Amino acid sequence: MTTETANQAFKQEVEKVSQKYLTKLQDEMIKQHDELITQFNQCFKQYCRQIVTLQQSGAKNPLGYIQFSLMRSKIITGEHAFRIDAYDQDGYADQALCVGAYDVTPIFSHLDQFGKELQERRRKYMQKVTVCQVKQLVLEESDTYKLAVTALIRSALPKAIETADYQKVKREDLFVITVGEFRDQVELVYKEDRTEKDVEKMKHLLGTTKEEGHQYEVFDGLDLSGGQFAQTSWLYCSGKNSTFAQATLSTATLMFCQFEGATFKSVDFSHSDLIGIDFTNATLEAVDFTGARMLQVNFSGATLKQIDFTTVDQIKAIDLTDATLIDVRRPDEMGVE
Amino acid sequence: MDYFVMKQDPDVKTPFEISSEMTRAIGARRFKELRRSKEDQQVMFVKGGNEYPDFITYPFMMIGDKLKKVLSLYQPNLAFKMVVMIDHQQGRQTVYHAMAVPEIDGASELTIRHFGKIKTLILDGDKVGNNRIFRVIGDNRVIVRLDVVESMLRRIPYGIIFEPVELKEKVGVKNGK
Repeated sequence: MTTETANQAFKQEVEKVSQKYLTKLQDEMIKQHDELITQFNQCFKQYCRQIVTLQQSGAKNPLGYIQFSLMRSKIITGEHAFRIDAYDQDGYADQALCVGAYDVTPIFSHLDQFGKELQERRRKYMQKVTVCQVKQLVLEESDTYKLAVTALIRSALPKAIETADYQKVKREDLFVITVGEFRDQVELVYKEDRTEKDVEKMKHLLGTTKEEGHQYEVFDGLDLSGGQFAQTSWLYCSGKNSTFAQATLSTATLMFCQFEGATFKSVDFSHSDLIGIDFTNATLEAVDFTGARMLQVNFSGATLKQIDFTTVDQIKAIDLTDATLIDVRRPDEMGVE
Repeated sequence: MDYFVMKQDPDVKTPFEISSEMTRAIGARRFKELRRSKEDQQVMFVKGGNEYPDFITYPFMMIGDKLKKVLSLYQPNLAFKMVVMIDHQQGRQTVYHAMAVPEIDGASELTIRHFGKIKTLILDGDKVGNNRIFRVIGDNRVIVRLDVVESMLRRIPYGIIFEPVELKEKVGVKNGK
């Protein structure tokens, strides 16, 4: 067997093993979802206390960023913890360090096993596949596990920020929580934006189409009436108590957006995708959902007026608890009163 | 910030070998001589072995091509010289960069010495300052700061390990650790 054929055969094995542990991880994350969230919340609470103590002694400015970072230097030693850093509005220039650790053993133990199994399987190829090659594969694979942690933190944060410990932390008007690399590329998982916003600028911004979409834009309480938002995509945006009258959102993609208490009047949602949208206590009047696809949309406590759901393309898992329905036509999937 | 010693992984079992005549021929056992040469790059003939670790210390300190770009960004005063390793038998050519790492007086007074030689190194955060890749005077180990280590590991290097170094924290900086 030459080095090349050995490497090729091993590559196929790697794919199999990788798939095996990722499936395992997925199953476990679904099964232990609640425990994982509780564990994160506890860690986050403790970290908030650490910041508050520092801030009370005057050693730390109001925060602009909290960053969770994957530490590859820990992975190569077999430790599994994300580092937590808090920075003020200067970001990495902030000299007052506040370091915490988030233990991710339940997730990264699978990466360990992945590495161990590969080292075992490697033996039959002798020195053609080396120990260090497997170490490289583990480092490469850690990216996927980082995504799992990002998803976990994202789903845990809405509860975690409700605690009194978090509320005591002094924060800037613009505050974000990110997960990613240490002092490098990161992904937003939470954003607080209390800065004053210009309605026209916001309308223009949300109206532009970008490949990656608008993520975590905050337009709470703004009047975005008449906005042209066709073909845009909004991810994790927040428009609590905002007003959309005569706005166009046709063929738009909205995912996991918050529209609590918002008002939609004569809005065009035709052929749009609505996934995980929260319309709690919102008012929707004469809204056009023709050809839209709706999944996990929450209308609890909302007021719906003159809406025809029979023209919707796909509709699934809709919550209509305590909703007031006036002149609404519904297909059978939505349940009949 | 934490600091680490950069080392070749002991798991590298079959590294390439530099043919001894070649080493003598270019007279480059010492990096100084190599730097003085006017050519842009040096060629070294190697044989055997299938492992090309991204960090080697013999006959002088060299670093893999993909890591050179990262290191020179973090520490601009590093000096490099390209060295190309050619293996005629296997028809393989690999680019390395010989590297001169700046020496600084970064050891704290807590450092344990044995007849003048450093036995246990404890760095002084104040003296190290903003240096990210350096050596301590009287010690030939390369020390790398945590952010550089992470940056290097993101590039998936081959055959490098990092061992943490003890650090006397900076005075005057509030640390919430």
